[in-house]
Amino acid sequence: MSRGGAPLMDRAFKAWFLVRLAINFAVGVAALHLILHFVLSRPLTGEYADVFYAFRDLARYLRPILTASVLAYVLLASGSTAALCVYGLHKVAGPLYRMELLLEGYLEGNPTRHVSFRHGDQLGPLAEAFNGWVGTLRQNRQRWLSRMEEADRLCLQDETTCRAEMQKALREIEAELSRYR
Amino acid sequence: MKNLYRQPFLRKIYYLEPRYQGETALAFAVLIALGGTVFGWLVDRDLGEALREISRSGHYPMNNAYESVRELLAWRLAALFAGVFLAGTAIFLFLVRATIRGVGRAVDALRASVEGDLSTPTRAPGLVEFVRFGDQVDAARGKTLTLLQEIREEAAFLASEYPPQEEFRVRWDGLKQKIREVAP
Repeated sequence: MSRGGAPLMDRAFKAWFLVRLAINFAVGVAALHLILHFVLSRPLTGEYADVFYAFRDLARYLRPILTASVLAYVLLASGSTAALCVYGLHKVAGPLYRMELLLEGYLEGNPTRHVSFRHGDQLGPLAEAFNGWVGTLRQNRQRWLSRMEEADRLCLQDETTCRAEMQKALREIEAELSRYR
Repeated sequence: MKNLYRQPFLRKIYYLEPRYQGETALAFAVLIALGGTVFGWLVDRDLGEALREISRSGHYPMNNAYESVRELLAWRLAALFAGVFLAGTAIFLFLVRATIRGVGRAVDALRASVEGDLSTPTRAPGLVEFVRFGDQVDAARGKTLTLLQEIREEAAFLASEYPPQEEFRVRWDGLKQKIREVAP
């Protein structure tokens, strides 16, 4: 949870991911069960000795059967879980990647636009915090420029008033900037 | 004029953070493989023993081997699912915690920046992605602080010193230009 705001990751997203994870694992286990069921449920036919040897052979070949079935389970469950990680975690990785690009642009001095994530994306408070910061800087910038332009307008009067107003504006700007550390 | 709405559909790129998405997938794969290995070892031991025991008993009322080992197999499969799912949940919750802690620090740093604190480092903990992201946030804040300090120093100089009118005018315009560079 981000302090004093909306959560960085929705409860619904977490539940959705865990349900998908459970489904993936359940499908893997079901496939493993199906393979073992198929191997073990072959009918026991023939004489008494045939059944005896059938059981003995089953015990003997159990390890390769298990190896193949566990391998199938691992491949199936891992493959589907990897797909879930790439697709599901994209809702976290995507916003993070977008913010990284934005910050790179900011550092290069490119114009910064208002950040908004796609529907379903996580990390919403990150965009809000960035927009809040840039928004405040822009408001301040506008106020400082307005103050300087106001002083510029007063220069139409006389030289003394002009200089005094300019210096007053500069002192106000300096005082406002002193809070940045 | 180019119609933007008729551009071909751009494929979404899903695999963006190999270390975040890829390593999580790898962690789950290792967990699944580990669960499968333990399951295989236990079933090989118990089921093999059960099958040998049945063959030795000489009493075969069942139609197939599955009937005899159904319960044993069902318990092992249930344990495999429960074990892997619980451990998988733990991995996911660890990832969620790391994400919230890492990104949360960056959010806190950006909120503090609104109040004027542009120098306290983000110090995002956890995964490399978040540490790197925290460094990027710090770089952006640092760049802004440097610019604001330059503006402040220039404003202080022009407010207190009395350079000649012509020089004052040039520096006054330069200051305005510098202020325009804040959050472009």
